[in-house]
Parts: sequence; structure tokens; C-alpha cells
Amino acid sequence: MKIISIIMILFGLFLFIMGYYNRRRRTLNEEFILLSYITGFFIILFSLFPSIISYFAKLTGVSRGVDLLTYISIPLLFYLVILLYVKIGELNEKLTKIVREDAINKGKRSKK
Amino acid sequence: MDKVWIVMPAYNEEKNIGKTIDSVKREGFNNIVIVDDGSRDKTYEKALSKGVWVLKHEVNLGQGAALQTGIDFALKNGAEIIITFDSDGQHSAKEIKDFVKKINEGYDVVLGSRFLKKNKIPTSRKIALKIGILFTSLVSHIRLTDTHNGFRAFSRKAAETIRIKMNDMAHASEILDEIAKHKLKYAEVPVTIKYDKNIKGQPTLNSIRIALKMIARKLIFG
Repeated sequence: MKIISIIMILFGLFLFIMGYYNRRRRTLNEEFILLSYITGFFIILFSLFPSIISYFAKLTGVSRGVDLLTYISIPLLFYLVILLYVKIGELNEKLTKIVREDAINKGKRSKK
Repeated sequence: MDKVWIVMPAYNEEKNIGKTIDSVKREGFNNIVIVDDGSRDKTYEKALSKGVWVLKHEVNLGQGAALQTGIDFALKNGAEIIITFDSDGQHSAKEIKDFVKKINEGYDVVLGSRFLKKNKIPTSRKIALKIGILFTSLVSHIRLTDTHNGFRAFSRKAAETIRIKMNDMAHASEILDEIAKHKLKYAEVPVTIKYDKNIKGQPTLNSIRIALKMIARKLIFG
């Protein structure tokens, strides 16, 4: 087994552990936990049996399996970044609303 | 005067807030609301000691958010004319009456312009502002001589119509966009701007960042 395969398997296991840890602590929502499990599973699978990804690469017209993974992962990562931006925007809007309401309700005027 | 409310957003302005409030009060305006935008210094305490309304944002949201909070509060308390005024002492309280007069003449929004009066403006600031003016006339289709001046007046109708959603400094361009979008009647009045080392103002680099943000916003939302 190549060193890179071992590293990738360890990374896949790390994703599994991270998913499990966040599920227990409820710090990540269901979609992201599922994404951790699925990504971890496929990383381990492709590291143990690289021929599978090579087969799909040939099927889609890409010469190497690694290239196929790169092509798939770039738009996927972009999608995740956009998703996070949307989430941050929503949270910011909620935070503004809460802070504003709190400020208006607790408004003070000292007598002078 | 009873229906005129002065909204002053403040962030870490303990050095200037007291003097600024006093200057506004001297002009006979007593409906003053300070929005402390999560300051880490004694801005809140200093403002409170002046006998004006003080609202506190528990976290720093940005000047745009602070303005909207103050405007909401003023509207809730029956304001007919709302003046936004910087808390760092850059503006002259003596000029508030010019804004009130214009609103009473039937304008929805009155915007202060430092270029309609002789003001000593640092060169780098002048360049950034001129680019901003050019940019606004292209993007918002609104012709002004000064686009990023915090000294403004809104009629009740305008304050209810315009909703500031951009929490940061980009709100200045957003307000102009809203004026154009809702076809509000606007005018400019000459104002004095003090440039002092104790007055923070807006860093020139920040202006460029805001302009880029507005371009992106315009491209996406039209």
C-alpha cells in the first residue's frame, strides 16, 4: 500500500470521528454530519480500491482517477463555501434583529 | 422642534460624545437618541450622563445598523423629522436647522454636502470622495455633490420607506439607492466638516472596499 493511501485512509477515519463527535455534541446539523460520513466512506473506499475510481474516470472520459476526484471536489467545495456564506448572512440578519430589539427595549434616559 | 429627533450612532467616542451632545442641545433640540454600537470605552456612560436617550447594541454591528436602530426608535416615539448626525464632532449642530427647513419645504430627504461650502479636506480623502460621487452617479443614477456624508435628514415618510440593511459603512450608498428606487424628493444643503486628529472619520482604503461591495451588490441585485 502506498503512503498516500494510508494518509487518505487516516483522513477518511478522521472525517468519521469528526461526524460522530459532532453528532454526540449536536454541534453540526444533520446534513453536514451525513456529508462527513459519506465523504469519509468514499475516501477510504477509493484508497483501498483505487481501481474503482479509475473505472469511473475512464467512463467519464478523464484519463486518471485522481483527476476525476479533483474535478468533482472543486465545484463541491465551492458549493459548500456558498452554503456557509448564506448561513452566515442569515445568522447576521437574526443577530441584528435581536440586538436591535434589545437595544430599543432597554433604551434609557437619565434625568438631568 | 418637538417632532425633530436627532439620531447619533456612536462607537468608541468617549472623547467627543459629550461635547457633541452639548452642541446639539444648545441649538434647542432635546429629542436626541445615541446608539452606542457596542463600544468598549465609556461612550455609553458619558452619553447617559447627558440626559439623552441612549440605546446600546450589545455587540458591534456597524454604523448602518446603529442608524436603523436609532431611526426605528425615533419613529416609535412619534418623530416627524429625523436628523442623522455623527457623534465624533465632525458636523456643526448650528446647521441642523437648515435641514429641518428643507424638510418643511416638502423634501423627503436632505443630504449634507461638504463640497457646497469651503471646507479644508485632506487630499487623499477628497480623491476618495470624488471617486465615490462619480461611482454613485453611475450606479444609483442620482446626481449629488457629496455621497458619503453622515449628516442627513429624513421626513417620517422617507424614514419609514428606507430600510438600511447594510450594517457597515456601505449603508451610505444603500440610502442613495433607496432614494432613487422609491423616487423620494431630495435636496442637498451645504455643511461644514471638521477634520481633526481626534476625529476618526472614514479611512480612505475603507471607501474603496465599500465601492467594490456596492458594485457587487449592483451586479447581483440590479
